[in-house]
Amino acid sequence: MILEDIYRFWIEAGWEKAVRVFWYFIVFELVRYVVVDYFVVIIHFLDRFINRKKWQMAYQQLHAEQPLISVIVPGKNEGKHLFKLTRSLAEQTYQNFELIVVDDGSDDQTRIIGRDLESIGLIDLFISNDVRGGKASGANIALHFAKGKYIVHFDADCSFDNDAIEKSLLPFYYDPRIAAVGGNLEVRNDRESLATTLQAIEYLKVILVGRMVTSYLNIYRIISGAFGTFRTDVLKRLGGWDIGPGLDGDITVKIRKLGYRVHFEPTANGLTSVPNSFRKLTKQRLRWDKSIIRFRLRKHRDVFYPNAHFRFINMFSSLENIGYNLILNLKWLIYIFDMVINFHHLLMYIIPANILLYTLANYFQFFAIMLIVRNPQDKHRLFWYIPAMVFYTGYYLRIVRFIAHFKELFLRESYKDPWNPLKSSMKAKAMKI
Amino acid sequence: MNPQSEENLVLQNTITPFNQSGLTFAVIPDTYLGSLSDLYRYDAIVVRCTSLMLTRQLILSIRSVVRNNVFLKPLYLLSSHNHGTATFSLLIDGVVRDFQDLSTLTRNISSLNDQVSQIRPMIGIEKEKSSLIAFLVFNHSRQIKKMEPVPDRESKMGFYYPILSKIDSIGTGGRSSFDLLDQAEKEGLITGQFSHSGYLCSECLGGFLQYREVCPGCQSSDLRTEELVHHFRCAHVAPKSEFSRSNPSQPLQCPKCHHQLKHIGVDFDKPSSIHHCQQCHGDFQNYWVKAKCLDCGHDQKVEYLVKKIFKEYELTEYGREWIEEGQYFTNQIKNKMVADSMTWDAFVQSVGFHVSEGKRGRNFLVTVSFDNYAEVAGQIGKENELRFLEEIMQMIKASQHTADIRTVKVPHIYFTLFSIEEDEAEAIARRTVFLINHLIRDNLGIGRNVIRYTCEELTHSYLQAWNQALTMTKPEAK
Ligand SMILES: [Zn+2]
Ligand SMILES: [Zn+2]
Ligand SMILES: [Zn+2]
Repeated sequence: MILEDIYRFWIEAGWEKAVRVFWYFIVFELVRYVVVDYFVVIIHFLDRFINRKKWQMAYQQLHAEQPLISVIVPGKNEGKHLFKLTRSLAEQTYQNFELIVVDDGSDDQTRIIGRDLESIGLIDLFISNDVRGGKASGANIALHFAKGKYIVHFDADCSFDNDAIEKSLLPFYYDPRIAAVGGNLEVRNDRESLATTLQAIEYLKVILVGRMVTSYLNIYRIISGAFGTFRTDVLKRLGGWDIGPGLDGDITVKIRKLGYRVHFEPTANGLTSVPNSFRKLTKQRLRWDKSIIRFRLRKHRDVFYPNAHFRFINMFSSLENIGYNLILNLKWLIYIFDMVINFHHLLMYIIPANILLYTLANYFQFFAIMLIVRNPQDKHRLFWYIPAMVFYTGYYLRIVRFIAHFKELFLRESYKDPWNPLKSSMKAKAMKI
Repeated sequence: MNPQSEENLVLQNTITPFNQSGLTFAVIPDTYLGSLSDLYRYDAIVVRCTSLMLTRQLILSIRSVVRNNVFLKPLYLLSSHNHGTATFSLLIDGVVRDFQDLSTLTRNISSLNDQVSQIRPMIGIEKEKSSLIAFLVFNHSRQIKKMEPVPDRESKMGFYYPILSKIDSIGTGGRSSFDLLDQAEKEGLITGQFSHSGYLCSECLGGFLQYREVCPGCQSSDLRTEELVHHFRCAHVAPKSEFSRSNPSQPLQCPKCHHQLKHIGVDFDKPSSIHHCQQCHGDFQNYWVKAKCLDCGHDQKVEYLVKKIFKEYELTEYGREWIEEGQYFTNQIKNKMVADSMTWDAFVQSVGFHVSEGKRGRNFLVTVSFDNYAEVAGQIGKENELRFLEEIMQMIKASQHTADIRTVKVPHIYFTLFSIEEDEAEAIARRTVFLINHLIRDNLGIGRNVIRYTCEELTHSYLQAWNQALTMTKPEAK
């Protein structure tokens, strides 16, 4: 009955009214997430096909040179993951690497485990710090002692396809302007709970397709610390990572500022574990979203100023990021107000139609994902969860993001974040970064 | 060559007798290199000390001469120093400043020699066993209750048990003195208590090791250790030397952000330190610790060293008996019955019973003693020892009456000649001993007589004295 009602309402209302009511969806979401996705998927296949000789050359060049790679894994209390990580690395098709693990002031068994693995040769260099210095300093220690031509930055709790390192090295040989390559990350524990299942879909959307899009548009902005590959010389020139949070995005911006390209490689696959409850997920996302404000708006505001370092594409990249995360969030709020104030009597028709539209768009986008994902048959199960994504991304993540932005803009909360040691945060705050 | 110095040379290699207070001392310069086997003729030994090293050598040599119990002789050092802490201090009986001092020692020497004279010299006992016995006997004779390992640079493991390890080092077929002690502990002769522990070379069990940290990559110990410095504001971390300073009074400057590092804990800290190998240029926090053996040169990770527990030993009650009664000679046949003989206890009882019965005629006891039973036993071998004794028993039995009895208590054999006249007893005894000597000479090719005998009448008073003597030689504990 109600569905019939809604159907009749929109038939009678006509196109003009629909556009007026769903302007937000049509202008932003449809264009950004659906049209562009298909466009990029097509471009991707075309590009790989047209340039297949060039990729072949890159492959031969890599194997002719066989450069030493430094795999660096900084982290606190990651000891329990280390053995599995070394197992995952032992399976890699590319084997000329050294493994450097930095224990950032762990207070568990990490030091003992790391030393053991080092003494039996599974870790090449294990550096254990008595006091915690934060993720950036951990990565910087590893960088200092790295002897490889490229740095692969891994999180200890990730695991990788056995060709992940090789695939993430190829772009450097494909295009010498590339100085950093981000790998794809999928969710390992997607079957654990509803929260992890929805995150699995989100990762496919945001990381796999989303980063392919930004990479092709040359506005790729965050190389995930969980799986990123860098030219060592470029990292050293930059002096390594700066204090986090958001150091992954930060280093990417710095590399772009030097004039290098940043590439996303969808065929280099890693798996990561994600928070298994909405409570933990909320905490994680609040932290991530706060970092957007801090690093886009404060530290790297110079990308907007016309100066020696100015590059239009960098500004666009940041604008895109800030736009879609901050401004769109505000626009969404405005949209909600618009609806509530101007169409409050129609909400019972608007909301179901809105959900329906988004769900259709999500399915449409999911098919695009299925075209490029490496083993689509494993992902069929996710199909049944697509309807929930409207509530997950449309409402839940938006609200979390809104809270984060509000807190960070007005209260500067990320400086109090336990993610960084107090000593570093105090310094950062005093420096206004 | 100057005749004066030639004479000195001769003197330096000579044992000079010296008489004092009715005792004869052997005075030996520590440069002495000649034979030590004649020292048993002297009442005591005096070593003239000129060099600690030579003295030590000589003392160890003297204390390892098992033959004729030379190693048990009272031994004094003639020196102006005390030597209380020298590694050989447990091996000497005292230090004298001059020859006059010797006169004050006569009582000590006599009582020591009395004790030592009761200990029969070891001959025909295998080397390993004799060194263990010598060790136990020596400590027992000096009333050293706790036999502790003594630190010693000249000993393989860095410790030695005076005098055991010395004997060990002159050759026990590679079996270490520590194995001998373990064995003796298992046999119940001694009990061991933990004294201390240490690590030994896994290759040669040497105790002299040089420890150092080495690069896990190339094993070089040419390492440089540096602190890591973490600059908070830019998250830069590097060894301290990479943070420059314009002059030593200036604070460090960060190579990444060029700010000064003024205040530890506020601007920067030192999260850890790292080692750099100057040979292969590897970096690592986890160096290996290796130990190089100064004896055989084997270089090993300390994880592979052999842990050794050094014990201090004490003689057990059984061990004391074992030494005092010279049971190590008879261990082989101790618990075996020699056919046609009685056990000692039964023999003593039977003799007493027979004599007190007061039958007619006189009763005689013949005691046959081996001059050197160990030598004889060594020649015939352990396997044949019992058979050999049994043959002797049969020869004795053949010359006795049926009521007579026999027993073996090596190195003695006792048999009775009851209800007989004195000259007849004497004749039987002489003939029997002649036959036994003949048997041994023929079979073993020993050119002289190896047994003596006494033939004494078993009177009441003799039995009384005999019983008294027996109870005296028995340990108090019994
Ligand atoms: Zn700095
Ligand atoms: Zn080295
Ligand atoms: Zn050795």
